[in-house]
Amino acid sequence: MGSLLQLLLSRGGAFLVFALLEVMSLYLVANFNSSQQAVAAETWSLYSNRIMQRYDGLVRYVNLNDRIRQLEEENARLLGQLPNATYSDSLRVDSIQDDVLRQRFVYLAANIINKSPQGPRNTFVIDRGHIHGVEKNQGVVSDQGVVGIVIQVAAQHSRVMSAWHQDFRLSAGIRNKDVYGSLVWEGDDTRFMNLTAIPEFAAVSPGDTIETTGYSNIFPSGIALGVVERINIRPGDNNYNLPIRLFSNIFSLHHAYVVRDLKKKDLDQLDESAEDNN
Amino acid sequence: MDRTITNNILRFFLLGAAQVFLLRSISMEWNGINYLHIQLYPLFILLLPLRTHQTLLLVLSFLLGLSIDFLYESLGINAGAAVITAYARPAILRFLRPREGYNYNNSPTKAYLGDLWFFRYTALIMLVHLFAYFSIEAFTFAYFGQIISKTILSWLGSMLFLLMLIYPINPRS
Repeated sequence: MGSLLQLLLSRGGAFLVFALLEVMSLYLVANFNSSQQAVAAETWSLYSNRIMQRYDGLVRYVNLNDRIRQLEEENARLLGQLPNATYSDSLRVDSIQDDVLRQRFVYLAANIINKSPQGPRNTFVIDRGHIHGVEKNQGVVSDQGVVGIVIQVAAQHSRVMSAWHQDFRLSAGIRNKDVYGSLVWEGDDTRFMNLTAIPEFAAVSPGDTIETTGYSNIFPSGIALGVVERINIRPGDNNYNLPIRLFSNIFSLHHAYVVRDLKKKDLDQLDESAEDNN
Repeated sequence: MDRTITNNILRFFLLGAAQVFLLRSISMEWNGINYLHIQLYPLFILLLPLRTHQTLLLVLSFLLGLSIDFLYESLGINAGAAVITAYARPAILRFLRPREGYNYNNSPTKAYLGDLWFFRYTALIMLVHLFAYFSIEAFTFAYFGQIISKTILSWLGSMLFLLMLIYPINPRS
């Protein structure tokens, strides 16, 4: 042990220490994917979240004007969706006014209190946890589109795998056209995502709106995500790989809504019995 | 306790805190990619006394980098870059050696070695540090051009902050 210490403190030893520390760092970097992230998150977010929340409070105060404007816009939009804001022409239909429409999704407002620095695997931390009813695999949306999926839940906070994460896949389709594919982020430009697996014969044109399909049972259907930027097809491929210009901006996300599917238990039963039959 | 040691301990915590709480929120986005990453904490590595044992230099830099990583949630990236910077420091010091040599009881400060020397020293260290930082970050998806442009832009920003900090304070040890 003594001779090892002597070796490390000698002149040539500095290189050994350097190599050791560097390999350690690179090991940390290489292994810092979702699962290791979860380990680090569990231990560290406990402590750092409390500090970050205070800090976020300060930033929130400084950005107050911007946030008021954002909330006003959102309120206006929501008020427009209230029943009293629409004109009902159902008078002629005579007493078929029933309760066909039952609530399926409920929304829980949350604040994004921490974002990982921009990289290929972006995650967020929101200030709602299982005491507020957040569960793993619930979707998170904002007024501009999809934010991500809850991957980890603590008592008062949850971690969200953002849509800007290389492992994130979202079932998305083109509005008013019956084609759908999978929306993925390539890991570089945060303004664009790619819609893959759209067959070549589908009539797609630039400017078409992309929306969620709701087939994944995580997000409600019809959330507008972005528009088709241009049409391109990879040589030797029968599918379009469409760049989508997103409506939402990762840098300006502050508010989010956690989506709870009230019919989840029912749908999960279907999945389970399907597995039993196989 | 020795003034030099207290100064360095203070710098460790103050620069770490400033990095994590203030500089973290500065970013410049272009084409959806964040090009500006202000790094101020290498100032700690820069200003450690000349007589610091190289092993201690490496370990301290690693610790500072790692503690910043924990709050940036970028485990290993800052630590790796800080270790490379610390390892490059003696070589850069040798390269910039003044004719009369160093007095090893001092720290490599602006007060001791002059404005021009300090600027060249800081410029080289920050270049090494930022290049190392963005290369390790790109570990997962490599675009060399992007690394270079990020390095240059962040270097300009970081140097501005660093010199703005060093001129009014001008520490002697």
